[in-house]
Formats: sequence, structure tokens, C-alpha cells
Amino acid sequence: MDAKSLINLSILGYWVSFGVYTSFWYFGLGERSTRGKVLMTGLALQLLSLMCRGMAIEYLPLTNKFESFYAFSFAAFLVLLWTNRVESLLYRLTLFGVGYGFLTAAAFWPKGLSYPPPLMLTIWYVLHVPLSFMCYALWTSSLAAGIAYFRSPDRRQEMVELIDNGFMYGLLGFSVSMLFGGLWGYVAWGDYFLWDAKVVWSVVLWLFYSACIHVDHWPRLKGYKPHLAVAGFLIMFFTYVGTSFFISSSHRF
Amino acid sequence: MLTRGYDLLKSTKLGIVVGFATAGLLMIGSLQMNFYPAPYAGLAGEDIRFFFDKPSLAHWWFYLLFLGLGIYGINAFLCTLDSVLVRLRAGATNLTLYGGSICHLAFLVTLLAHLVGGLYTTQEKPFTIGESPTPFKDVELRLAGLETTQYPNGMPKEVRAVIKIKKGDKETEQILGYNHPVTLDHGKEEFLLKDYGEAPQGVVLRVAERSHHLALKESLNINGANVQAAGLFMHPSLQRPVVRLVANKEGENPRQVYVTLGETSSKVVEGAQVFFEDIKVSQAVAVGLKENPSVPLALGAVLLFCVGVVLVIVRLIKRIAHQF
Repeated sequence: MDAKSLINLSILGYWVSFGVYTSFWYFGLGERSTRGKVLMTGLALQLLSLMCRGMAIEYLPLTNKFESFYAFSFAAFLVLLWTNRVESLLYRLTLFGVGYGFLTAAAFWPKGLSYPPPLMLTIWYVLHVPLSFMCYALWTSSLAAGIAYFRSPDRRQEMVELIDNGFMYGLLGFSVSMLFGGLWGYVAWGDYFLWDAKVVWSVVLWLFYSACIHVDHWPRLKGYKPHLAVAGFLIMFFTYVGTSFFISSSHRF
Repeated sequence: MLTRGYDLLKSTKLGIVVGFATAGLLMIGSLQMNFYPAPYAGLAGEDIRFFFDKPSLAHWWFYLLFLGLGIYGINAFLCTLDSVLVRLRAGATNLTLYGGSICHLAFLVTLLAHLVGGLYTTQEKPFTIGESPTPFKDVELRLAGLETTQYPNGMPKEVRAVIKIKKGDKETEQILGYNHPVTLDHGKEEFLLKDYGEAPQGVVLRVAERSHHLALKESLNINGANVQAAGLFMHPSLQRPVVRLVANKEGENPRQVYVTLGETSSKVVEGAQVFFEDIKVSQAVAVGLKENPSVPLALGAVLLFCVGVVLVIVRLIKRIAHQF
């Protein structure tokens, strides 16, 4: 199959998965196994669609805005599947809503064939970007738990655990992702750090969540974890989207 | 007083406050650099000398950040030392318990690497490496091969340049490409690919119906004078390339003549009609040199982080396994 046919197939996959995810607004309200099946179907379709794009360009399909948003929504839905046991409707719909928002936003960008520029062709890029997206998704899970915390007094303990997990696993993954990013920067530009908006905001994210995971050592601050989860999401959103749309960065995607 | 100061410096609360504060200062700095860029003209790479060489009130956030990270470093060091000592005294021999401390240590090394890199990194103007040796410090660099690949739409995909590096009698080989720099001195010196293609290596001159192939700076003898191809000019403002010839004869002042490429633009040099027939080109790469003495430190930090993160992950897995 030629590259063009693979891209067309991936676009078809996008729209079919979009339909499946849209149905989650209904099935997501239902019981665990049904919503899990819907999510798994959407994820499988999305993965196939992304694989078609990858085969068309013979590389990781993260080369433009469409693929970026599409892949981030995949990460968000994957985390949602991982936390499928959580019965808080507000948590589920918030996390799903963010993923669905990015999936919808992807529709507005060109979906055609775009090859990665030579500087993207390194194992460090392949490791750095998907891992960052997974961490962004974990922090989105913290946001969802933070919002559910405010609205569901009876589930607060569970929500705090979810916030903690998002903080901890997100920071762990992001630290490794930053190492990969630093190595990529070194081989591509000769710098593991740049005074570039995306890099600076990534350091901001790392510093912020590093402080967050130590909050347990300050009992009076522990009660503010949900607030920190919301603030962290806003910083993450600006790091991911803001530095590409609102301020100039050499990392614009 | 001293004890209170020490207690404050090793308090986790201070670490949390400084962590959020440094994050906030970086946010402010980033926004200021973007929306008021004038005071930051010339700031590049990881440079921090800029903020000290050109002090300005506009950089207030950086000075506070610098101070904050200094305090953060001291705090992280003291907290880590304290927690490690507590664990050692308690006889904790489980290595995974020290994962967090190793990550803290890696953070300290990272701060140090940024300090060294920010103060001492230098960058040279790009230069060309061709098929003839290019001297650089105590080595000679030479391009021994250049292969490129393209996407179906013509966009460059990969560049693979074979660079021979000669130091004394020993010659080694490294591959240069995008994301594949040539490194020397444990990665402190790094040649980055800036461009590739063909570069002029010499000229073909016809003197008295005979063609002479001259490399740039090479000479030939015309009627007893040493005539050197001293320079080649291909500026867009010139209609055709021009070669600068410098004639040296013993006991006389050097004379220079400019000859334009082509059959109709010959000049008389030392009594002979000289035609500039052609330009000799060969494959070449343009490279930029970056010298960053902090690279070994940064690699050390990477290694420490990896060890720390692995230990933390093992501990988390153990905890999860225990729950089930």
C-alpha cells in the first residue's frame, strides 16, 4: 500500500474513532465493563490509525499539529482506561473531556502527509515526546481528580490518591523524558538547555511538580493538593499548547 | 542563631517554597523575554554570562532565580544529607530507600552543570571542512565521504559525512550528520552539521595554451614569478566569479590581478595571457563548533538520575505488589 492510501486510511480511522469516542459521552455514564469496552475500541482504532500514519512516513507519527493533538488524546484516553475502576463520574468526564477536546481540535488541522524534518530523526525524539505526552495525561488525571475532589466530598480520599499518583508517576516519567530531551538537544543543537520558551516552561513544570510531590512534608499545605493539581494542569497546558500558539518558541510544532 | 539558620536551610518547607518560587520566576522570565525582547537581544543557548555582562533591572527575575536556585541547591543538599544519615543510623540497608536521595544528588549535579555550562560555553562561527585537511587546534579534519538521502518530496532526510580526524600520526574516523555531531575531548567539543553540499576547492587557469589546476593558496610559475591563487570571489553582486592572483618576484613588490571567469576576460600577468577557465568543486560540510565544559557533569547527572529513578520505580513496584 502506498503512502497516500495509508494516510487516507489513517484519516478514516480518525473519524471512526472520533465516532466511537463521541458515544462515550453516553456509555461513559454506564457501568465499568461497558465503558471500558468502548474506550478499548476507540484506543485500538486510534492506535491502528496512528500506525498507518507511521507506516506512511516510516517514522513516529508526531510531525504536525494534527498528529500531536491526536496522540495526546490517545494518551489521555489510555490513562482513563487505566483508571476505569474509578467510579467518580466527574473525574471520568473531566479526563475524557480534555482528551475529547484535543481529539476535536485535531480535526481543524491539515491531516495530509508530512515528513519529519532531519532534526526529528533521532531515537531521543522518539523517546522524549511520547513519554512527555503520557506525563501530561497523568497530570490531566490529577486535574480531573482535583475537580472531582471539590464536588464529591464522599470520595475525597480516593481523589487525593489519584492526585498523588498523577503527581508522582507524571514527575517520574517527565524526569526521564527531560533527560531524553536534553540528550536530543545536545546532539541536535549542542545544548541540553536553551533559553527557549518550550524548554523554559518544561523546566517550570518539572520544578512545580517536584515541589508538589514534597507537599506531604508540610501538613498545612496538604489540603491544597487539588488546587495544585488545577494550577499544574494550567502550567502544563501552557507548556504544551501555549508555547506553540501564544509565544514564540523554536519548539513550535 | 547558627542552629536556627541551619534548621531553616535544611527544612523541607523552605525547599517547597523555593521550588514554587523558582518555577514562578522562570514563568515571569519567559513571558518577559517574549513580550519585551529588546533587553534580551544576543541571549543564546544556555548562556547566563549575558545577565551579568549586561546587568539590567529588566533581568530582576533572573537574579532572584539565580539566588533561589542557589538556596534550593543548599537546601536539597542538606535535606538529602540529613535523610541519608537518619536512614544509615536506623540501619536501613534496602538500596531502594535511597532512590529519592540519589535523584536529589542528580538535581544538585544538574544545577552545577547548568552553572558551568552557562558561564563557560563558547560557540565558534561555522567553517567548512572539505576533502583537503582543515586544521583545528591540535587536529586536522578532512571529509572522506558524503552521502545524503531524500524523501519522495525532495526534502532532505539523512546526511552521513565521514570525517577523518588526524592527531599526530593517529587518524580516527567519525560520522557527522543531523543529530550526529563529531565530538572531541569527552564531548566537551562538538562539531554540529550546519550545511552540506559542494564548496570551491580551487581554480583552473590557462596560461600559454596550457591548463593549470590550482588549489586555493597554491602557486604556479609564470616567467620566473610566483603567482598564487590568493582568493576566489563569488559574491552575488558579481556577474561571474573572480579569482585574485598575487604575483611575487624577488626584489619586486607583490602585484595583484583580478581575473573574471570566462574566455573573454583574460588578463596579462607577468607578460603572459591568463584565462580563468573553471572552478574546481568538491564535497564539503559546514560545521559549527560548540565547546561546553559542563558536558561530562551533565552526563554524570543523567547517570545519577537514571539510577535514582530506577530505584524509585523498583520501590513503587514493590509497594504495589505488596498491596495486592
